Amino acid sequence: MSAPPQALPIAGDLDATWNFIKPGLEFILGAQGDQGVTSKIYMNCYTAVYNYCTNKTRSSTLSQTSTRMGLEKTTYTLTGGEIYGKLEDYLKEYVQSLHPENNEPFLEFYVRKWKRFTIGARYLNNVFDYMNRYWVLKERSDGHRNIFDINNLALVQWKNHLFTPNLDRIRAEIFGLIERQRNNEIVDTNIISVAVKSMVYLGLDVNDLKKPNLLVYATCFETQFIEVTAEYYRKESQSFLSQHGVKDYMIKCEKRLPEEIIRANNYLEERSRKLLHITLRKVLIEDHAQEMYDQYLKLLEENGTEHIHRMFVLFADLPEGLDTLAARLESHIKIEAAKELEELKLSTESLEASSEDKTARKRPQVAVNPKAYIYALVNIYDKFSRVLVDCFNRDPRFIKSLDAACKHFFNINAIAVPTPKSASKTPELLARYADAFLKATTKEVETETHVADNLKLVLRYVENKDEFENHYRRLLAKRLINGNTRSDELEEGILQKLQDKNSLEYTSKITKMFEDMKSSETLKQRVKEVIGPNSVVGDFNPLILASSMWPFVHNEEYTLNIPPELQSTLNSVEAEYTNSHSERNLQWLWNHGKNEVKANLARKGKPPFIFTVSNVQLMILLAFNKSSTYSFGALHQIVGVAQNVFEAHLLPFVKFKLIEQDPPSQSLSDPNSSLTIVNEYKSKKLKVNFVSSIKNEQKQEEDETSKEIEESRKNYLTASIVRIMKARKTRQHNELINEVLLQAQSRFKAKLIDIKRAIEYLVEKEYLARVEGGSYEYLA
Amino acid sequence: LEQAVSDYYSGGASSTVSGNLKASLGAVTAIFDKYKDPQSEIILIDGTLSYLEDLGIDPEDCLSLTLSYILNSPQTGEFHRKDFVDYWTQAGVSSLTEMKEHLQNTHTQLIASPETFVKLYNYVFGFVKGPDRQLKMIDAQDAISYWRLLFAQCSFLTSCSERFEQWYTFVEQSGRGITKDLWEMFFKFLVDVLSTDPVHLSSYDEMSAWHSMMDEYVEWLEDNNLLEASA
Repeated sequence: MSAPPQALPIAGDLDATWNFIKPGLEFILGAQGDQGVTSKIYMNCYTAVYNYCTNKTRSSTLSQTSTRMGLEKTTYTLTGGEIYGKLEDYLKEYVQSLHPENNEPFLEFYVRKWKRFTIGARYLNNVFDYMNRYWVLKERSDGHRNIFDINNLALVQWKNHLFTPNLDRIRAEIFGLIERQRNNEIVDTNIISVAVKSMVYLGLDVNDLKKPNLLVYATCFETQFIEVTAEYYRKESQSFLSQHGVKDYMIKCEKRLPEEIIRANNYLEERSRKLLHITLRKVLIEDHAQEMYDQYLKLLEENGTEHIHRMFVLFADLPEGLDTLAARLESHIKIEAAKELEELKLSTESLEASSEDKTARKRPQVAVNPKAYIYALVNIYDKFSRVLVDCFNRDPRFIKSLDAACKHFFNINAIAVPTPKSASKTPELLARYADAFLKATTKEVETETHVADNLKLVLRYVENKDEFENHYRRLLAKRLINGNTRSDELEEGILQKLQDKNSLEYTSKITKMFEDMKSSETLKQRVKEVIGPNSVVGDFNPLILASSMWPFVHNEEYTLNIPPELQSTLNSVEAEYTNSHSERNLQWLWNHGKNEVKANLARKGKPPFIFTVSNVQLMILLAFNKSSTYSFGALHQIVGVAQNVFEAHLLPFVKFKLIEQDPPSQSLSDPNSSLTIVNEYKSKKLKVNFVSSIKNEQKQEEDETSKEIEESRKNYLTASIVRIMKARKTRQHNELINEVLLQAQSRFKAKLIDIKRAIEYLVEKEYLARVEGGSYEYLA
Repeated sequence: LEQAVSDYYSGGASSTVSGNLKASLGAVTAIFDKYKDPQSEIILIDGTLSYLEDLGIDPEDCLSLTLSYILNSPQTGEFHRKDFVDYWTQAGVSSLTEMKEHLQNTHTQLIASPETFVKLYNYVFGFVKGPDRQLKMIDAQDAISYWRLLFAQCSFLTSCSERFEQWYTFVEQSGRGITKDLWEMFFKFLVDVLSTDPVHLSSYDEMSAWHSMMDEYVEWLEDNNLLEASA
């Protein structure tokens, strides 16, 4: 190689110029042992090119060029075409002349040369800066898309004459390195990333050279890379799974995924990362989802928190995967809950069978202890709430699963629904649970907050909240009238907490009941003052209860004949009450309330007995003050009430030998027998309760309860339909049904047939009319 | 009536037509007077029975319902003069023989298709219930008798005669009264569901706006194994 000529060539001479700059170009590109470029060489080349391009004397060549370009009209045309052509040829030759050194892996050679070539190309670009700015720009703006600036010209030549012919080899070696890296060998990652990056640079948009174009990268690398990656991990995951099982596989995936992603970030373009991620997810997780699902239930059963959490994380980007896990969690909770409640039921039954005591016979239908039942429900909920936190990061999907499962098993389980189609007992058991806590006789040591929390939780999932309210109110009513509540503070505390969760309307009746109790207390004081201390009745505790608020109905069967010794007291109460509330109507509920009677039937020298008796029983005993023997009919005549009621209340006296039937008979009402009170009652206890053994009226109460609920639901549905129809005027059958269902949801799960009946009732009452096509119309 | 008569006269129509009308008006009025209750302007039960007998119609025949329908009888055994005279004069009919013939024709038209029959059907509910506005329903037994009477001659319902026998049993067992709504819905049910596929009731959809009694009826059929599951 001779040193470049010192003197600049004549500006108009193409060959002279080319020959002048060629040696400089070789230095710039690093040919001939890459000796480096001096600034002088660089400046000379630049000037020569500049001079050549700015020379205006070379008209012949100029017109020739412009004719070829079809731009005759312009008098001023630019120079550059010929030297561009020479450079193009030269670059081609140069690139083709590059070869790996001995034993040098091709990829290493490619990367080494590429690095140098791109530097050279940039310098070259500067050398031809003037041409780039005028001739090239003009050509391109005239639509000649095959003319490039010199940097890109160099790249195009590289691509066409080095890259493309050797693509398979380059790619194979890249993939080889990547695979070795995946196998945990140490490789020069720089080679991979430079090689891949070269493809990014080689992607040219011929229309806009400044626009990045990933076409080469995408077609020559990305597609194959993804395939190779998928294949690699497909094999790896299959063999790993078959050898180590799902648990270890998930640990492996947990490691493998970020590893691969971090590695790939070194050489992958941004746009491929998502694709890689999807591919990995598919090969590693989706394709093995079935195996993982299969293991999932086992893991849930053995409470493999850590593994389940890992599975959750692995499925995190896979919506359908999470849906599957969530759905299976839901069914798992349902099955578990069903199992546990079935067990609770069986254990209660076996306990009962073994002890076979009277309590079991007393209430065959509510066998299970309400507290045990509510605890079972709450425990299952708590258990899976923990699973939600520990395994599923409280993901909304899984919260939904727990909610759905709870909604199911809180209402439907072996205990709540012992026979199919029967109504769920959960609301009642929940009310009984609260009752057990609030009763004065309780030995419960639970805290108020705990009970309230349990109530709120169970209530959240109970479908028929109105039933709970009804049972709660009935039990509360009993506690109140029997003076049996633990404390007013507790009652109010629990009530307060129930109100937090529910609408005020829901507990308004209960609130009114408490008010009644308070005002009754004042009334009692006033009556006491009126009567004075010298009365047969020692302590009289009248309760004035608002009739639609309390779960009591006036019962004609209990029409008592009040003896004169009591009448005056009652009169004073009535008088006192009507004094302040003249417009109100009082009815005595003789079927409720109880009395304590001092009975002088003890042996001489012993204190008198104290009998706890019902109102009816009180009248029976009072009658015996006048005579010690009655026929059944005569006694019944005196007392009043219906015969079945009378018998039920008389029976405990006979059974516990306070009253003797003579001669004894199968039937209390035997007209040939007479009833006589004993002279001396024998009992070890001083206090005797005759109320608790009155034949249970539970059946009747149950009927009353369901009647009340039915009635209030009917009213609710009717009101709801009217409200909707008033606003909408006309409504499709199904739309109406759905809106009603939605409205009722917060109180109870409305049955389709009940809604229909409510609609029919309104049609009959001419609030609604049917119109063609299964719609209804509101009649104002 | 006098108003009507004077309308005809003052109408100034051709004398033959007026003459005919006059003749028929007289004849129809004479027939009404023959059967009417001596104390009132109404044909009551006795008169109805003789009228039917003279027309040669069995009271237990659906024809008698058609007669009540066209003469707008408000309840069993009750025809009002205006309804009676207006209808027959309008129809240009003035003798018992013509009446019978006209009735027979009208009846045949009415029972020909559900679309025409439904008018008679819906009328019958009010006819059975009577004009008392306080009263909202009719007795199940009465409903069943009238259903039998009504459906007996409907050829478009013969396919499902077994189904309405079952319906009668069901209604009887339920012991509930029949409201106007239920009465009318049942006919729709009969036409849309029972007669289209009496075996499987495939057009029945519990989500549709059927009266709850129909839902219960279908459930009852299922519970009693009277319904084959549809394919």
